[in-house]
Amino acid sequence: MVGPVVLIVMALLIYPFLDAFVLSFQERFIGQTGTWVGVQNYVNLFNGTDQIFPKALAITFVLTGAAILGKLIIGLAMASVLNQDIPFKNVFRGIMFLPWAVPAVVTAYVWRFLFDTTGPINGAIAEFGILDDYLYFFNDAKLALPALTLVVIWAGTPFWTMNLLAGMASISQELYEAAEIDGAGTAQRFWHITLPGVQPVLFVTAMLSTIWTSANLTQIIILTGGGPNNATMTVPLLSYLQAIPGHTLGAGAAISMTLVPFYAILVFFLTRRMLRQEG
Amino acid sequence: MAVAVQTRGSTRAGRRTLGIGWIVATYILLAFFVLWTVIPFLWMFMASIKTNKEIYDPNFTILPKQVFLGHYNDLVVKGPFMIWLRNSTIVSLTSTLLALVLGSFGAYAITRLQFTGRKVIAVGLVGTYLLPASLLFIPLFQIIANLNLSDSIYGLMLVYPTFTLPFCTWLLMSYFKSIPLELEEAALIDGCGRVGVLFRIVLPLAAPALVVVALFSFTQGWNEFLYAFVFTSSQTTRTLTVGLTLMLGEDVFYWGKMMAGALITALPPVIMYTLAQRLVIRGLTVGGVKG
Repeated sequence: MVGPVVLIVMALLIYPFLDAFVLSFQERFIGQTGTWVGVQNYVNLFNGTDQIFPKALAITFVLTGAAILGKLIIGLAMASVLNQDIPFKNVFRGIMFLPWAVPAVVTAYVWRFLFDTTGPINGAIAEFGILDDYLYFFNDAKLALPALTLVVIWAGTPFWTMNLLAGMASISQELYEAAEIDGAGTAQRFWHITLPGVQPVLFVTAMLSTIWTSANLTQIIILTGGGPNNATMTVPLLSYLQAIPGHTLGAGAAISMTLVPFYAILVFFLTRRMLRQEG
Repeated sequence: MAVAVQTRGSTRAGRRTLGIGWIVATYILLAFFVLWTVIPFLWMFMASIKTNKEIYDPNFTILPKQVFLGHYNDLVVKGPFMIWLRNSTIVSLTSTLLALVLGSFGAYAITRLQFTGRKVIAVGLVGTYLLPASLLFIPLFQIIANLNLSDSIYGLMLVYPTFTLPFCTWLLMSYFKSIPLELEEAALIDGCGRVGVLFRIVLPLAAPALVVVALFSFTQGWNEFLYAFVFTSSQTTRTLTVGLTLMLGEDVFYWGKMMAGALITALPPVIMYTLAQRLVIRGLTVGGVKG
């Protein structure tokens, strides 16, 4: 009964992963057989004159770090608000989960439009005469990464909110009542009861979100394609550009493999955690 | 374990003693978050019902001067949009069916049957579910090419289970565990086989979880971009998400049509999640994280 699942997982997940690993030691063009080049693909990452790989690695960490921090803060605030006894609570929950439900491609194009010269942000800038010129968000090396980060945060926050709300709901009401009797204020209750209470959920959410944020390609491909002047080039995007448009599968695989140690640590802790909770 | 989320009683933390300042802050934040979430969608909708002249007018207004349905009409009547819509539907439905059938069998075997390697399979499922697509698309690209499935929706049907199946099996596992064993034991004693038990007892009881699994697989398949973008290349094999990217170069004035297309693409997942909000939130938080 479990056969088909095991077969599919082996054939479509474990085998390809191992295949990518082997591929990363080969020079291989699309449609041709590979030749073994040892660690040359990895050495090349650091030898290139443009130093694009170290730059992409740095950008990946900056983008992921900033996005996780943003999602954490907004997610916590959003969950705290939705956890209160407000009218139409479920309607508001439904609305705030919308960015999570829609395809990432839709998110990306909607924001591309919002940031466009014909969009409302530049419209407001022109209307109120704030600046002399439009802001070309995704064509400006200084603005592209912050704008991209904002989109990633917007799309990723509902996942945090959802999990944090679940965590908050599991906190015993007696704790709050006891704290109240002891004279603890709202801020103190949040700090000493809510935060420690959601900590296990927060931990798992943060790790899941870190994996998905750092690996995310959709919004970057649509919004910037890595530009301008590689200002938004991340490791997964570089790997894509090398492997598919660049036709060098081996070099692309090597680039994607560089993040594996980082994922391995996260997956190790997550797997343990999720199986333990499973009991 | 599956009841943590929406079962709150009427006494909520902190409410009775929230000072007026906190209440005001709560509502200000609420208003901000609603606007933060809704404005992008609203802008998409408004652009989709404006004429190009209005969209590209430097002195544009928020509401359209008159409702214009030409962009929607163009999508339905002209070009390959309907083919993309069909492809997305076929691919998502196939991966849903696969996830439901294979996931149910797999989850039942892992939770109920004693065999060696059970633990390893459970670990493998979680581990592989967490493998991001960015690590897999290059080797999968080769595998699909070797199978002669490049540039066809069959290639996508083959790879979409990579992200739906592990998660769905995992989710069903946690649900099956909450079903009391006694029911099954009685049926087994009465001569009902394992498959019979699964179909007559476990699956009917797990109906809410099956709904979540179906929804999840369908929308994940529907929303998928990277694999479809890399593995297909002609107009007739694209799915909706990739099709949207092709609309960009089609015309000088593309935003109206693009936003109409984006809205149609977003509609199925939004409708499904709205209808099944409670179930989905519970299912996903059970599968991903448990409170």
